[in-house]
Amino acid sequence: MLYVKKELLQVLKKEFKDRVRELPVFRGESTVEVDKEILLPFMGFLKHDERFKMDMLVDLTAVDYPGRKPRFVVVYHLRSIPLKHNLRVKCWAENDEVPTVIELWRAADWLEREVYEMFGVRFTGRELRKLLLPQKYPYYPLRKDFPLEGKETPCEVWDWE
Amino acid sequence: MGVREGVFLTKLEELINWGRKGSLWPLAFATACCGIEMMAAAASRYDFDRFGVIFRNTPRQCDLLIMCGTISRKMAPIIKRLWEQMPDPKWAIAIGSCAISGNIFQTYSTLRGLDCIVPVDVYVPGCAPKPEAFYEALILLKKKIKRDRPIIVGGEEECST
Amino acid sequence: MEREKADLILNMGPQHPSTHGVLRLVLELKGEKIVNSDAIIGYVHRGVEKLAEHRKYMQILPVFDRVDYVSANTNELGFVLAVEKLLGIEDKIPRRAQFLRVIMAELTRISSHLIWLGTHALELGAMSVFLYAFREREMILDLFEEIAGGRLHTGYMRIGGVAADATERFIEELGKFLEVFPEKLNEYETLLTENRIWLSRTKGVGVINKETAINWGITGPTLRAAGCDYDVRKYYPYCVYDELDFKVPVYQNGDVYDRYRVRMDEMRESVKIIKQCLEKMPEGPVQIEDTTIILPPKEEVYNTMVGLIQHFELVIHGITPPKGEVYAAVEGPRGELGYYIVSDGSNKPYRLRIRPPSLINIAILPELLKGHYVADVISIIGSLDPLMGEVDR
Repeated sequence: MLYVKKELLQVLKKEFKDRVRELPVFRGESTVEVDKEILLPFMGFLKHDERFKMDMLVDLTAVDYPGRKPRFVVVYHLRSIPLKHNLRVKCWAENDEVPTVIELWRAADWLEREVYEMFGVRFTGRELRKLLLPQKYPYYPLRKDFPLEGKETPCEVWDWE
Repeated sequence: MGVREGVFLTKLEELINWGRKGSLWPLAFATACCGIEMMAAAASRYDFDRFGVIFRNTPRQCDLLIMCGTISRKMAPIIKRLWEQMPDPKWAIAIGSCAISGNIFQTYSTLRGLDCIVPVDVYVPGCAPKPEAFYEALILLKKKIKRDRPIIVGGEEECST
Repeated sequence: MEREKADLILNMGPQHPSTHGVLRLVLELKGEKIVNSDAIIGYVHRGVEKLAEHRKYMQILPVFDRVDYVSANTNELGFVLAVEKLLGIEDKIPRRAQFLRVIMAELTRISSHLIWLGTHALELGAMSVFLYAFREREMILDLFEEIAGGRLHTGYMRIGGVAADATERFIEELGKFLEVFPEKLNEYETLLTENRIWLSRTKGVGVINKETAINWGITGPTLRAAGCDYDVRKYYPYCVYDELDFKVPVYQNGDVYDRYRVRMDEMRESVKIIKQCLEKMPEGPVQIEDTTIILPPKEEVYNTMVGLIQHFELVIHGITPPKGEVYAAVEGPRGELGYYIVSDGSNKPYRLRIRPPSLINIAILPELLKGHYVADVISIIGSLDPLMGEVDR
């Protein structure tokens, strides 16, 4: 899989200074870490800039690091169909909140809802509902402290809505 | 049963059982993998129709629930309702490990088997069972129906399950 | 945005014969037109991603068979490629194994498209196509059974190769299948392609244009019917796809009919790919020679001390890839199937994310259904080909 070249990553650094950090390349996959405050302008830049043209949000997910603060990192996989390159963007969710990117990529709609229900990360600027589990389900199952077998939940949680 | 010169001698019970086992109409409903095998069993090579099995799309015309696939807790109340919507007499077959015990999916969102919500007549192990196993299940169920006592003295019909 | 007033709210599913499993749609109708709709999913949510965090890398493989249950081989292939990338052994996989993987992946694509064709046609009222499609699908399942032992869940891929070499009978039967299958495809096409009922049910229905499709993240046949030639096999070739000669079918209208055409053409291309694989496939081993990654052959385990120890070591400790994170994708029958693995250096993945093509493809459904008639709903769902096991995971 083709990833964004080193020179282009320098462009990002020039544009956003130290608010964008380059993470070590592993198996040829480039990742950048970006501050929450500039996430939206940064993503907008990636989407509209001629050198990047990231027109597809391939995937949006989160990873839980219980010992760390902030605890969750939201991971975006971006791709440019015309230029064929990819980039992984990470954004730490301070106060468990991240701005939504639904205005840029509609693909984020269900993916953000899924991250919200699985991790409890709230995406600001949009309406959030649970996607897979019932709306009344009280836990966030993909958090590391949630047991695989689940916790006791009252019957009416699972009722037909 | 015996036929002599156009006269047909049998017990009413046997006639009823014969009729019931010859026209099992299952509900065309599946949740996961085994549903694909059920489709294969109904299609060209295996041809379920010759058993008198015709899939119906509404529970109100069915007398057999062939439960194929994992049952999630969110789905459980709906399956229960489908079962209750089916007219008596009715039977249930649990196909595959998921419908028997939950299989490998021992997680927060799966039910540990169909028998938690519905009385099951025949269990078919396998993941996924081959269409031949569906035959076996049907033949076993027919044997069970043959033993049924649909009429009890006093004229009141009892539920055969 | 002002909400148009609805006369009737119709609940479709989760038990509905044409929602491809347990998809539930809440349709707000005005007469027969849909003014608003909502899709509710999660009725087969099994917690696969959570489950994967609690299993060793080798143990996860059978779980992914069951995620997208009509294309088990491509699912496994994606996961296996991701773990191999994590381990850094992509180049060391024997060539014969790579060809076998491609053959199995393409057979899976054909069988998945056949199920799609059968059910989609059945839903639109063409019963006979269902019976024909399943007749040919049984031939493929026989091939799976011959090489891997399972019909639906083959469990054929291994981290570091494939489970078993192709038997002579498999090659022979495969040759026969490739001989007859293109004719059968023509048979289906005579039934459908120019059928007036089929045309009026599918042409101009559920149109998704290219920009919308890309913005919604749609991949696979649905994207290619909208005029974009994105295909993982061509863009980021894996296994031996870069050595094979095949076309990616692209159509321009983006309606239900074009999605049908794309899938039909894809089946022909798959036949071409498999034929080339059979010609080019070299002799040789089908597994990597590294017992820290793949189990030693059974003869060694039963007869030698070293083999036994290696077997136990691997079963107990499992594969331990280095710390890091990778994303690997394959072109599944429904679109780009990606695996994002975060490893913390232990024998279980720290986080495993599946990028499910079906989920992302049907996210557009509520938007797409607006303004269509109720009867078109079935044809649109069918053409997006969602598989609820994969949508809900």
